[in-house]
Amino acid sequence: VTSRRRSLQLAAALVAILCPAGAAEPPTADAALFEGMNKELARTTHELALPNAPTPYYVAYWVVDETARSVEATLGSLVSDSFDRDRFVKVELRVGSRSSDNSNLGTTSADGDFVKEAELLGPRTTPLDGDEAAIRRDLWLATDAAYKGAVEALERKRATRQSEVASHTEVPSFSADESAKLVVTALPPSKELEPRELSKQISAVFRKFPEIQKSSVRVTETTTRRRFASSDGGLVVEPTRVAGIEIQCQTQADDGMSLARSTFLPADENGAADGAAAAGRMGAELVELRNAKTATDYSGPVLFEGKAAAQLVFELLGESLSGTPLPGEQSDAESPLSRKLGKRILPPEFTIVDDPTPHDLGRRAVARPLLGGRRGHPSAARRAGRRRSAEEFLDVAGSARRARGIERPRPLRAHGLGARPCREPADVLETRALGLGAPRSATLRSPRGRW
Amino acid sequence: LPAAPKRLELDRPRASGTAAAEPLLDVLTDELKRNFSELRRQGESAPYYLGYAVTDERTVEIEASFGNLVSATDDHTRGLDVDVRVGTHQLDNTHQLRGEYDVSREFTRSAWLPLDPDPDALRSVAWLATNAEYQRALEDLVRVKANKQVLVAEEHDADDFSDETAATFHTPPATLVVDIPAWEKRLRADSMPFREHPEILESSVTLQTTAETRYLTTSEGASVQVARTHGRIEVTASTIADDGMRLERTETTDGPSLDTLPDDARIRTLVSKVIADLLALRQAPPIEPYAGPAILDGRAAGVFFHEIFGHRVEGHRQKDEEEGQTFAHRLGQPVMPKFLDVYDDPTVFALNGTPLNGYYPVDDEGIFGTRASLVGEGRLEGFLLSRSLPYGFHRSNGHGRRDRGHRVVSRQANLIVDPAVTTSPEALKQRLIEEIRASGKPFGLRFHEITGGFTNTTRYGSQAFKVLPVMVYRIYPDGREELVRGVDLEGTPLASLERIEAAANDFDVFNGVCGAESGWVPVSAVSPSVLLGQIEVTRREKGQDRPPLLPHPVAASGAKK
Repeated sequence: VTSRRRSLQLAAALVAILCPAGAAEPPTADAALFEGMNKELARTTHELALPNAPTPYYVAYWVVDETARSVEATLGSLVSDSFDRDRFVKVELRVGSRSSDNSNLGTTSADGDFVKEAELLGPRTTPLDGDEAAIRRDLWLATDAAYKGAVEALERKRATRQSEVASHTEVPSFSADESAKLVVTALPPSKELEPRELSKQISAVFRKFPEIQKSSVRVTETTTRRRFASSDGGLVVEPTRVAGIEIQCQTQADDGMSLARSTFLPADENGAADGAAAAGRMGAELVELRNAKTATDYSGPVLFEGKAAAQLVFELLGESLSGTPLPGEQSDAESPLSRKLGKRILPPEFTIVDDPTPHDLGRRAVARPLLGGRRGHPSAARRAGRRRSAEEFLDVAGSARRARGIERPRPLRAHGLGARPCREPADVLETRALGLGAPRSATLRSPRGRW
Repeated sequence: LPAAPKRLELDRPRASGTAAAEPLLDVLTDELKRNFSELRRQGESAPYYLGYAVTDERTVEIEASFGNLVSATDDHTRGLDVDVRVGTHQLDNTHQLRGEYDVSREFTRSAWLPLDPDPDALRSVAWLATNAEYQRALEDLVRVKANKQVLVAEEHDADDFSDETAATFHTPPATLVVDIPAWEKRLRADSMPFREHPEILESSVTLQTTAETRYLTTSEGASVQVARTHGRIEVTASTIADDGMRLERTETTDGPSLDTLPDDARIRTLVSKVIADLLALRQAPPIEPYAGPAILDGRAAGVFFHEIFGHRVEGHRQKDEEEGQTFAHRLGQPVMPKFLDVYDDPTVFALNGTPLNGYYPVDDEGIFGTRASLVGEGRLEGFLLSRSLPYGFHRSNGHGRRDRGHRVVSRQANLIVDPAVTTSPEALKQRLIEEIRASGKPFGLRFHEITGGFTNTTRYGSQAFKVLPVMVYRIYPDGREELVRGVDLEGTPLASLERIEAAANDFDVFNGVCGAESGWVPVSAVSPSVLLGQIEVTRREKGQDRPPLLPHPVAASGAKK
């Protein structure tokens, strides 16, 4: 099957399982959860109030189920096999107005306490098989904390605004976009993974390379079911699945330089063959790299091939294209592109698009397709750099929060590159130092052969 | 005080240690010999000791809350810790670096071993970890020698590593069979009573169970394979008082296997106790700072001794010149009242029928665990000893312990306070009341439950301890008791130990885990209730958050399940 044909098949399958437009009702399996979410939304909107404080003008709830399997092997032997199931709730609550609300302040808590802030805004674990009562209990407590934090943050933001010089254009805190109504009932069928066998089979390839000191293959499969409800009528049910193979290997050159290679592949029907081929290729490249001459300082033209070029673009532009304005006190660090709309930022031959909706790009950048967006807004391709100008910024919610590191370190939605958006960029040739460093080459001979 | 007989039955099982060694141990022993023999060719840089310690651990944890399942995890890992020593037994790479604090020296370069018995894969991991640890050992030895050269002479020259006989001891590996669906069902039901109490904001009933096999092979010829299984039921709940004070109550029951854990009826009793205590605490008055006489009930007294005494008699602290060394030079001198004996005995499996967490036959340096006599008739008799001995000692007493990934230091196992003279709990209370009346104090205190504590043993900072009581009662001169909240118990060790006046005969066991330089290790503390002539309590840090603004959602709708 060609990549193009597979893309079309997946797209057709996705279309088939989407509910017809206008029929955005939660599936029966989620009815009790949505009942609980809606009751708490109603209580929050109509009853939640501190004396002499503003009431919420926008509330959104997420209830997310996540099942994660992770299997690691080295040299054909199993190292670990873990399986986790979680369900967590998350609350976004806004007080003030859309033009200026509690959001986007450097820190939410008055004393800059990040632990407290994480408690206020971070996800909260809730029972896996929770009924309406259980989900309401956790939403009630999470909402209470979020509201108190929001009121405190709004007051601090107002005080800050009064005392600081207006050095930048004030932009609205929250757009008037409507939240989405979107229900995806099921995932397209996929081949059942055998992660133990897959990881062992691929990792055994490195047995051929005694020069490689350390190698591992990790097969991961994460399925999520995301439910979203908001006070402006938003409703999203979205199941997703990501299965991948992470291959890593490392060694040392004779001069002590640590060398490593890593890659990430989709764990689909070709995963075993592709993984074995990638491991063999990486092993050979690492051995070649180990014997290569040390690079000298250089200034001149460079060719970035394929994924390296994509990575370069991501590093140069990715974060700068985030549309979320920085908090007021960090306005000095605003994106270099923030005032470049309509102006040339790249040579005329380049068009850059960020489109979270494709499910398959020739079996390469297969991050999860984004249907509902993190805030429940319909996804759409965002074009940046079309006709050489910065046309539009990515309206990703929560980028400021992610930057402060308080979001749960999970592969939640993010406009990143590759399938590991919250971790490292995928598949980049690396020669970075290894953690604690190793100043000398191995004194001992490898038990797998002399080199 | 009227004497009352004590009952202190110690169960010490006799494990033969003659089970067959697992293939894993044989593979690692072969790789250790190969590596050691190659490194021995490094001349003056050759190591004099190499050890591989493996912790094979399978853990199942199931948590339920308000009748629902929160999580169920089943993990299996196999960690390798490599210990390389270069130099000599008298001075090696592990020697203290005075004036420097390098936290990485508390950790090993640990690695994850394959779970499959593939010799090539196992040897590859061990080889690389050995190389990394050896290179670090060389660098550390240079630092140690430079440190000794430029600083003043140390107060005492104590060897870095004792010369010991290598042990061979093999028990069958630990296994774990858990009917996870059945436990999920049980815990759901057991956690259901919390639903009836909307004041309780969070709660859970959790099963934690572990099967752990520790392997040790060394260049000295030690070959150890020791299994340990453990289970715990934990019932915990929390709420917020109207003044913003966060209140938490936890009850745990430990056992060496799943079948020794409490049945559902007993778990429900724990749940009821947690609910009743928490609701009572919510209504209880906060306490003001106070100094006066107090009784520490059995488990609370166990934690008290663990914090103020146990940590200060760990052997490695006696030669560390940055430590407070409260007892380092007090051997043979009185350190507490004459009627008290204190010892630490890892070979005790159960006390008066209650299993102890701190049991082990062989420690993490391959030394058979033995009873360490610490205090006899109030006089200091010894220390807890690993192979890193304080001045004047020549043999470990089998208290070298570590969590995976850490270097071994001396630690507590089963700390037992054993008074020669005991009275009844009622007589102890009566004595407290007499002291209150005699001193003109409005009340005394009784500490019933302590959740844990901490102590500073270094010279930097005050030599103080703090324990965290949760169930504390005022005892008035008429004998009436009143629950109070928001109490911390603070003090300094020598003054506190001297104020112990009497002990009851109601021995109780605190089973828990203790964290220190070598990580978290399972421990027990055993003590009867004791009367102290004076203690000092302070106000606990209090949250400022209001209780939830809206009423509990289910209580508000009147629809309890």
